[in-house]
Amino acid sequence: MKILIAVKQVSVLEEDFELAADGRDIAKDFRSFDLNEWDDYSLEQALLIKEAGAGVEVVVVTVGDDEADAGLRKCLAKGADRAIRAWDDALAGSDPLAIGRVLAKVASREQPDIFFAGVQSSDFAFGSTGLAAAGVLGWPHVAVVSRFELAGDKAVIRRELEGGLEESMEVDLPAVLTIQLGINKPRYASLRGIKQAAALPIEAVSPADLGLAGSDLGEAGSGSRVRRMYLPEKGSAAQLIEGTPAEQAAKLAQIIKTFKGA
Amino acid sequence: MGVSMISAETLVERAARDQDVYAACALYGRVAPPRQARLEPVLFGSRRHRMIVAAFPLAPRALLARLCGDAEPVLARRLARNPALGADELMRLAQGRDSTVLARIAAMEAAPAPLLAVLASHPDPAVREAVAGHRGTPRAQLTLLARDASRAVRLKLAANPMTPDAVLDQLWSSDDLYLNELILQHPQCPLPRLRELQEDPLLAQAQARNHGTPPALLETLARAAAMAVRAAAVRNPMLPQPVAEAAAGDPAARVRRALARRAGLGQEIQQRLAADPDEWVRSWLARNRVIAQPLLHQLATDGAPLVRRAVARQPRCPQPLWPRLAADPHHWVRAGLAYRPDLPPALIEQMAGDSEIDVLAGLARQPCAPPALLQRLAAHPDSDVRRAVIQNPRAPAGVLAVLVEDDYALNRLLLARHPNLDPADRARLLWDPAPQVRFSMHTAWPGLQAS
Repeated sequence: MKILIAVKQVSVLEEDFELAADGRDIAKDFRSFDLNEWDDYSLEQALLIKEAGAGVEVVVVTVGDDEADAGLRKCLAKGADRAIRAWDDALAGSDPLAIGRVLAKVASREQPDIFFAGVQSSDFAFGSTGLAAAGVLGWPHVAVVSRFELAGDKAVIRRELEGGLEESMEVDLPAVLTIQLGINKPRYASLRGIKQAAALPIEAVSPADLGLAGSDLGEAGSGSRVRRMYLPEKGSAAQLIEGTPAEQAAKLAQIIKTFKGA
Repeated sequence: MGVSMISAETLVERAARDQDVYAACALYGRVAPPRQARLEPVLFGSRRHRMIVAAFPLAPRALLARLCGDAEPVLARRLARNPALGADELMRLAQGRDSTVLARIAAMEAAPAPLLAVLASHPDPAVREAVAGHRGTPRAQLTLLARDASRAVRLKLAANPMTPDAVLDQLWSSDDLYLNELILQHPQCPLPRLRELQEDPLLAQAQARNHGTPPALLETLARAAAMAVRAAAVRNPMLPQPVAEAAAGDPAARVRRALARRAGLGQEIQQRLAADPDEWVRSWLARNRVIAQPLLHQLATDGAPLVRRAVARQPRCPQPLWPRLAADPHHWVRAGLAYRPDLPPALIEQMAGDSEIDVLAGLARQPCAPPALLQRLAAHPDSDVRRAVIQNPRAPAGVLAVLVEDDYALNRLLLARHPNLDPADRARLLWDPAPQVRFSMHTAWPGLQAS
């Protein structure tokens, strides 16, 4: 069995930041990077499957420049068998649709039995990259998976819905499943694993290697693009509850009563 | 490389080679100027690293001082929140800054009084608010701020423990309930305000909390209609004991809970509270230092695990009760016992077979825990248990050696400072992948000034 996991090295925003000169992102000096939190859970789910049965290969893939290597090495340190990084400068500005197209090409090449992705990334929170890849592949897909069991060539899963509801379902494999936080308890990378991972190769692939043309990539291949990033002006929609602790508690209680219609 | 070979030069060169800003921060204040110069490109060479240093609360003061003089606005905003800055640096940083930076500086504990005095008349209320809440603001400026147009400034002033009674009296308002609440609970609250019985429950509660409220008025408040007021009065140690003990019959459990926490409870009241239907009342009593030993025997068989745990944690819990508590069916009770600092070796051995993480973590901290048990717990899959071994001051070097490879960075961070860690194992932590571990190790690495 092969499990492919899409991961992302996300930007972690610091306080007192500035926007980039083009006004479309946070300036790089004010960002640190880490593996997307959801991806820790996806990887852990794959590693649990690997540990439960023989002959399971866990492959992680990301779309990003060489700074994304750190995230892949973290996955290798935890126990992933291989890592693939797809990049070309032409991919800059890609939205989830374009990224999903690249991931789908990697999945077509790798032919995994299961394709995990995180429900969303913590920096842009589109929540659609995994499902975009599924759409391109034409594979079954389930979002916000909170419980997973293998049953032969099917997966028995539970997924979260709004209002605290959950839905149980079976899905034929191969399928794309986006994994929710809390489905398991992610492990830490061991020191030995970190040292070993530092020496492991990361396979670099370009869009051309995957058979993608320029029109499939970047803004040209995207359904959306970031026009401007800005701090929203303080408006009447947000109410800052000020005053002493007792005063804030009283105001909060009044708001709750108003919304409850009491 | 041998441990004795790791010199200042080696550490500095490696920090420079790896562009390790945290190791460089740790080393900067501990090496001679020529080596400091070698570290400066790491610390100041890129905007990104300057930003990291400016916000790093453990950075040496001398290093931050270098950034204060010509800091760009966003760097200044970071520096202005860094608690490592001293008065001189804050004074320099304040020169020509906008009100966002000045408000942050005025909120820093190290902000010097002369600067606060100047900022007290700043046109931006956010700056004056920070000044009004600062313990170091001169009295003259606190008096000035009592007439401030901004209510937020006056609230900060009323909450500042250094605000004198005359200023608090001046702040008293005929129509601001919440401002008056702050004044009534202030340790410097003017006595005439405390002598006057407040009818509003919020104000009466603040009055009941204040240790300066006259006992006669506290007696009245202890009989107030509002439960919160009665509970606050009973918690107040200045309430005469006989009046407080009358609360044993109070219909509100919250009031009786307050009573169960009081010092100096008489035997009869203790017995009454030990039979209270509310388990929190019994639990607070079991943790009270004045509780009689026979009552601890009684509460050790209480039906509520919360109460039995309180008995297990009671410093005066009689030793004959310990074996029973060690075998309690509820793990939270056993954990309460396992964390006692005076647990004897025989009981540690008895409890060593427990499978509950909380119990094992308690045992792992025991100075008398046998090395074989610590060795086993050092390999436990739960990081909390392993961390507890690291927190054991008597954990031997052989046990600690295993934990140098611990998966959890926080555990390695704590391990770095353990006095029993073998020097060779300590040296391995110098190159740890976690920056906080490396920083800690470089900060504490011995012999740098001499090398």
